Amino acid sequence: MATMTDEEREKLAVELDADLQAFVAEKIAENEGKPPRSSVMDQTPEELADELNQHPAFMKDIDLSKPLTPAVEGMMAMKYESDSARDNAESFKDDGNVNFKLKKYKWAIDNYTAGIKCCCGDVMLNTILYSNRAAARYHIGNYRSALNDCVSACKFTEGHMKAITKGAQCCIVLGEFQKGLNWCDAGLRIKPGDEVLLKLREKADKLHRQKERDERKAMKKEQKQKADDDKLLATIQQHGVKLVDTTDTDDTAVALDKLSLDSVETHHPSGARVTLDSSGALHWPILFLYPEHGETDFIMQFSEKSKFVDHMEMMFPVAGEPQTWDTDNKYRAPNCQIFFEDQEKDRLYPVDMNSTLETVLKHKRCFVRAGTPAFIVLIKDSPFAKHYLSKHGL
Amino acid sequence: MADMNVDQIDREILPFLSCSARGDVKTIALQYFLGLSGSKDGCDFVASYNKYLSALVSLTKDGDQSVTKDAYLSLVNLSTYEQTAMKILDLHQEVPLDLLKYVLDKESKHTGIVCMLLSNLSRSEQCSRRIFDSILANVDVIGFDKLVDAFCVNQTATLNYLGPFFSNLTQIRDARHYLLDKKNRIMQRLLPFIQYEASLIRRGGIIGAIRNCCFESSYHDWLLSDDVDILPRLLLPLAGPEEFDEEDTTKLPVDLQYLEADKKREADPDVRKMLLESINQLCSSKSGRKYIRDKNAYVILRELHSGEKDPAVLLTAENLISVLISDEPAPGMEDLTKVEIPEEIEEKLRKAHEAQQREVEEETEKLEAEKLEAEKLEAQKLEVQKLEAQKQQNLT
Repeated sequence: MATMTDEEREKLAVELDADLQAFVAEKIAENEGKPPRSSVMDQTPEELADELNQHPAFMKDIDLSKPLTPAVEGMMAMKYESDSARDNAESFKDDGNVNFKLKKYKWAIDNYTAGIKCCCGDVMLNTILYSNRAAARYHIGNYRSALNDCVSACKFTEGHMKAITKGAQCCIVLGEFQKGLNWCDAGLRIKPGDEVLLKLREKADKLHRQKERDERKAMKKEQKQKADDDKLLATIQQHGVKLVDTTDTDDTAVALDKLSLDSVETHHPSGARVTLDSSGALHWPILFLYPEHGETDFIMQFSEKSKFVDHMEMMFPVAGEPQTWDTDNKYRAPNCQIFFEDQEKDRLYPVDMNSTLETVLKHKRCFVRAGTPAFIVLIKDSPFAKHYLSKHGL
Repeated sequence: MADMNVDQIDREILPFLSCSARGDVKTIALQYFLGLSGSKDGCDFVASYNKYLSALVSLTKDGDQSVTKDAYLSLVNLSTYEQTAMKILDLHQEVPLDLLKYVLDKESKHTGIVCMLLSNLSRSEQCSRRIFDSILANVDVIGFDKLVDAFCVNQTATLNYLGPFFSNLTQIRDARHYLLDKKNRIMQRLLPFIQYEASLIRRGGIIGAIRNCCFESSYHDWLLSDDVDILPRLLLPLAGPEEFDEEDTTKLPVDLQYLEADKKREADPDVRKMLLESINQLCSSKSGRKYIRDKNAYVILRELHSGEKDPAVLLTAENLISVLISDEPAPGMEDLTKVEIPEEIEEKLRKAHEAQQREVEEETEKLEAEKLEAEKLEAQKLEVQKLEAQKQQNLT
């Protein structure tokens, strides 16, 4: 190092003096606007006691929810101002442990995090910081990040039992039982017969096997559902029913090869859907429309083997109370006529009352929309029927 | 060469069966012995002279790896015969210790062969006893925990033959108690190998050992408890893809509920039989029977039985099922291992058992004959097809 000449040294001293002068002047200027500090004599004894309690020399407790006095802040800063990263990390760890004991887990986490950020070279200290932070995070329910801390702790010290135990616990709470078992086994290799780990292992094993069972069960259910659905679609196809997918923009019959269950999904709130019974017969949800009265009937299950006449006789018996909307008492089975509509061509086709639903659905112009065959019921030779039929090309 | 007499061998070959002999001649001498050990007569001949056995054992410590390999291989062949196995173990006390140390040493080159040798050597009860005593005397070096550790950690083919080795050792009561040690959790570590698909040797060996351990009735409650939970382990390989109704399903252990549609049964009949025998043993006490009944093992066994082809397995399954479905024995006779059987009945039972065994044997023979016949027919068919194909070719 080059030595200073006397001249240079003198110059530097003058400069430093000037700096100090300027700094003092600045501080005075800063404080000028503020009221002068009240003297002790002006304070009430309570205020005085309060102020003394806030002073680091006298304080017994620290309330971290309130802003800290400058003196305390200064002391705190000093604590972590050590040049040694290790000492700082150690201090943070101690603070964390205090907070942890007081169940102030969030503060403890902050403390441990600060300790980790010191990046000290002490492997054991880092292990403990991570392992303790894992414990704190576990307590507030942050299991995933707690697990990550366990992994980090074990990276610093392989086989750190506390971290391994916590890791196993995290995995179990997170439902990752196989991983939990691996943690337990790793720990048991290091410390065979460890009671806590054995208990955890048993728990993880039990839950793991249950989970596997549940998965198998769900898969079976899904497979069965799919098999049922496939069978249903195949039957619909075999029975020559033409489905129209109403979700499609162009209203053409669904190509049979892309037949999907979407096209049998009804829009009815009951969620009724075509079903297949054990004898291989389909049961359709059916919509009867009575345009003259603006009324409809929704039949949840109508066997394709049933004849329309039977249904009509039940709905509209020759003798008995008429439907509430049938003010003229006209709707009696023998008076009724049934049609289905070909929407594409805007045409009605009459339905033979003695035919079954199955035969009607086979008709080449009969399409099933929204999974629900719909039929229009009119009164034979009534003025409305004549008018309605003429409108639809009959 | 085979008709050489003892004097000739002693003069011309034996001197070279030593570590200090010249490499090329040593190899030739050893090759000769390895060849001899390939036949029964050769084995008998070598085994009748301790000097030969001793020389072969000494060569297992040769510096040349190809020499040690051939020495071990000769011993594997020789130890197939029980008498010889005992003779080898009798050569000197360190033989089992050296072999087990060799197996545990990760640097060893011929671990697989030595495991095979151990499996052969331990076949008879007497030999097992000898080896087990050696293990006990050197627990710090070759203790059971160390062997099981190695077996669990190294799952390559090399240690597969430790499976049958463990099975053989469990002929010895003390060895069974070792495997059943509650603190060491050895049993829990062996159980997963019941489903070890990669090797029948390993799987079958461990199942054999577990079967033997199931004879220790004082451990039954522990084996069936949550701590070990052995029942589902034994049942799972016996279960197929069959579906049961909700009620039957919920009674089963969770591991057996809703099994996949492609679930396969254990393919090896001997292994199936050992699994059934294990469960049968666990049925010897009243509490065991109750537990196994409550866990609905019956439905699994019923399905197994309905599809079983092997006569011996069928008989074992029938015996087990009849224990499960029959009424509880009269008070005082609940523990089947402690029931005293009058001599005349015992004689009758023995005869019945023998008759059953004969039936099984006949059945098996018949099946095998049928199989042979079928194979013959198949071969004939192929022959005819070939001829016809040739004819066709000739025509075209």
